[in-house]
Amino acid sequence: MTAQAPADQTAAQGAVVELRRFSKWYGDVVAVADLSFELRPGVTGLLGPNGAGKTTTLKAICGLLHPSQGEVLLFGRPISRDPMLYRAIGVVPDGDRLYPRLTVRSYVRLHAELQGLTDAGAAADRAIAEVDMGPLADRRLKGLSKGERQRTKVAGAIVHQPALLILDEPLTGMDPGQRARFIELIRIIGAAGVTVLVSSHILGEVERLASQILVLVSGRLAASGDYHAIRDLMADQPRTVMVKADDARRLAAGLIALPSTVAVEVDGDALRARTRSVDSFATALPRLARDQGASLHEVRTTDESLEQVFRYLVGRR
Amino acid sequence: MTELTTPAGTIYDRGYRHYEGPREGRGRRVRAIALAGVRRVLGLKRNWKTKVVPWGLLVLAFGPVLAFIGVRVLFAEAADEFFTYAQYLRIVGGLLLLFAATAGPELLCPDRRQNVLALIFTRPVTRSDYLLAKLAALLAVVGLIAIVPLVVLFLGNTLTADSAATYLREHLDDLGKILVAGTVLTVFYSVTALAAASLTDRRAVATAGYLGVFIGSSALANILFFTAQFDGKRWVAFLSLSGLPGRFVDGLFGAGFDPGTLADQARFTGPGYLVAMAVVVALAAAILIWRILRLRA
Amino acid sequence: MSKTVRLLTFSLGQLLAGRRLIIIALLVALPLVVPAVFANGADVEPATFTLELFRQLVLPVLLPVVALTFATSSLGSELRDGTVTNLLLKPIPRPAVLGAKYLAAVASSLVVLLPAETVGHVVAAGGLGSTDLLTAMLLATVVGTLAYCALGLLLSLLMARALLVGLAYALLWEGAVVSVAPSAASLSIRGYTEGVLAAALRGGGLGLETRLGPVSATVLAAVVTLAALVLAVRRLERMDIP
Repeated sequence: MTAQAPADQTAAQGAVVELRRFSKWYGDVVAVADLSFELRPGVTGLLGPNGAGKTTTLKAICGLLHPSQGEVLLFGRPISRDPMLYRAIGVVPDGDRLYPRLTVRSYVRLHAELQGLTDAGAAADRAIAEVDMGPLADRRLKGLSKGERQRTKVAGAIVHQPALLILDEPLTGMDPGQRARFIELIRIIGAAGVTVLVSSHILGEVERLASQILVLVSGRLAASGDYHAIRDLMADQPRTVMVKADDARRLAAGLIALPSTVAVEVDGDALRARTRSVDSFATALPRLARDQGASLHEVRTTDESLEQVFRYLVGRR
Repeated sequence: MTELTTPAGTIYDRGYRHYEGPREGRGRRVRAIALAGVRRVLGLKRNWKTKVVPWGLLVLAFGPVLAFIGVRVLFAEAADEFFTYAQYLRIVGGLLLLFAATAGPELLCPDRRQNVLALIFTRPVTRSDYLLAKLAALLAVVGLIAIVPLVVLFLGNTLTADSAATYLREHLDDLGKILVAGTVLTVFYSVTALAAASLTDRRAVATAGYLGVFIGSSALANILFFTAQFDGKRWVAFLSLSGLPGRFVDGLFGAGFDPGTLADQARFTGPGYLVAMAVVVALAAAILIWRILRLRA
Repeated sequence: MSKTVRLLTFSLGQLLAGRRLIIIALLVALPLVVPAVFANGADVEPATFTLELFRQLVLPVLLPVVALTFATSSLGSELRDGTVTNLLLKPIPRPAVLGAKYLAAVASSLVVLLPAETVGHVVAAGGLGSTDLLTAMLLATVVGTLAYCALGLLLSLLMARALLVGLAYALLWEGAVVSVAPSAASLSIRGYTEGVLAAALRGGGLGLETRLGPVSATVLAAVVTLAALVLAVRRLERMDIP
């Protein structure tokens, strides 16, 4: 995985987070098996269906559970040996985990104080402002909506400006406006050189948030890297190409004759072709159009989405 | 709800439909909550850990009686007196205290702590229905321990006596006393335990408070009586909450108090303790009603 | 202020939150002060009365119930509610977290117990009374609180219904032991507190017969407390946090 941050010392050092053959089991049930990856500055998405082991992995990285096998290293060291590492780590865990009677400000300030920050109050105010919770800062946590509580948790996690930020399903309970602002916030944080790991089900947002992804399926790493690249690697999955042309139907007849074409749909002046090889399709299409004298208005692949990647990877098991 | 029908076939539209049928009434609702309460208290349909305390106490309540009857049946010669009804009621009383201390909070506290009240009260269940149901559940299970073992003992005595008919005739009033005492104890422990449970949303704290108050008040009464001297100190006998039921039972069955104890020297009779229990129950009921009726879902 | 100290003040605030403190303090003070009022106006040796009250009400019931309740909820409620991650994902070593939670429980228990005992003693004696008795009671209370809180903390890390189990131990086991097998007093915290009480009283001339001598009582109490705390630290460091 490549660094997306401006060059600074973190890029020169080793990985911020490193898992080496991390495994976790509970009795007979294996939650995560043989997981190895590295995280560097920038935003990485952790995807997987329910029960795939995302939360287990995140908790292991945070030091909330011990590996049954393998190692989890943060900044090159196992976290169980060195609680001071938490100075550089911020975590937004799953579940509520808020003290109902505290106000937003006192909750975030508590986090700042437990981090040992010298000016806890100012740091808390800054973090609260960053998550847009300023107007609600003196409300008790008990009375807030789910999205507001999420943002408060995030404020608590970033108050000490950590180098590593871990978020377990942070987008739950947020309305679309809040989500958009939140995604922007994470992007800014990632661009500033922080290593961010976000686990999520909401593929559409992860797409916008992280170009590097880790996909967990049944406790194993199913794919890692840039998801466009992963899509390219999924060679046995036919790709869908949409073409808009003058005489789409005649073009379609020619396209279906190609050996790599699986199926073609026609709808007015647009056709949708599924092909096993985008390369041969891309070579054949212009030739066909020229021979027929047809003008092509639009050509694009339509299933580049993370959803496609995800469903493919999950479906394989 | 639409259906397409031709002579040859029909397509059924089994989409979401409103329930148009008859609805059962209030009694059914109360019964549902009560039954759920009984299941919860006895740990039915849940894992073994929740069964330990209630079933352990049940075994302790029924075990000796059944064993005794078994011995009596098998070895007619070994016909020694088991406990008298009064003595066994006192033993059962101790078990009732422990049972109520755990079962009462189990019925009321989890609903509050797990925020289930909102679910319950969006149904047409009033606060008083809810209270009635919970009380019914606790009365049923506590009554099970308070009354049934004693009745079984009575039946056992009757059937293994030389002449069942004469035994029955002579001891019929004992049966009456068993039922009365059992009912009184059931109501006493149930209402007080629920009152304690209604004061907090954490089970263990309610149990701790309940046991602390019961046991502590007895210790206090003893100390006050035996070490202090002041006018009217015999009234301290009514301060001992855990002692009230036992002394009432002794009074009811005409068994004397052990000499030298507080009860003996205070020289109150059975009815006196009954009145004291009634006062405590009334107080507890007041607390309970006040707390439940102002429950915020 | 240091992080661990902040954790301590926060935990104290959680345990002694508003109404709860007043209720517990009242429930403890009432049976200790009100009878003392009676004893004051009556024909009784105040020292004997207060001592008996302490031996039969505080040591067997009030002390364990209060200490166990605070101790099991200090860390236990945070574990159950999931809020403990707010404290553990911080640059504070886990032994320090445990220590802060322990001290918060001990301090809360003492805040509730010590004033009530003092006031009760003073009211009964109509004045300062026997200072030896007072110091003996307070000392025994401190020793008992340290031990019961350590036990409660350990239990809350090991099982879900920790308070219930702790109460069963303190009220049933220790109650039964007292009446049935005197030699088993070496296995009960109540035995240790009585031993300490007796030892402290010997100096004041108020004799007390107990099964454990002063040295064994103190040593055993210390051993049990330390063992419980060490086991609790190990458990906290090794467990998977839910």
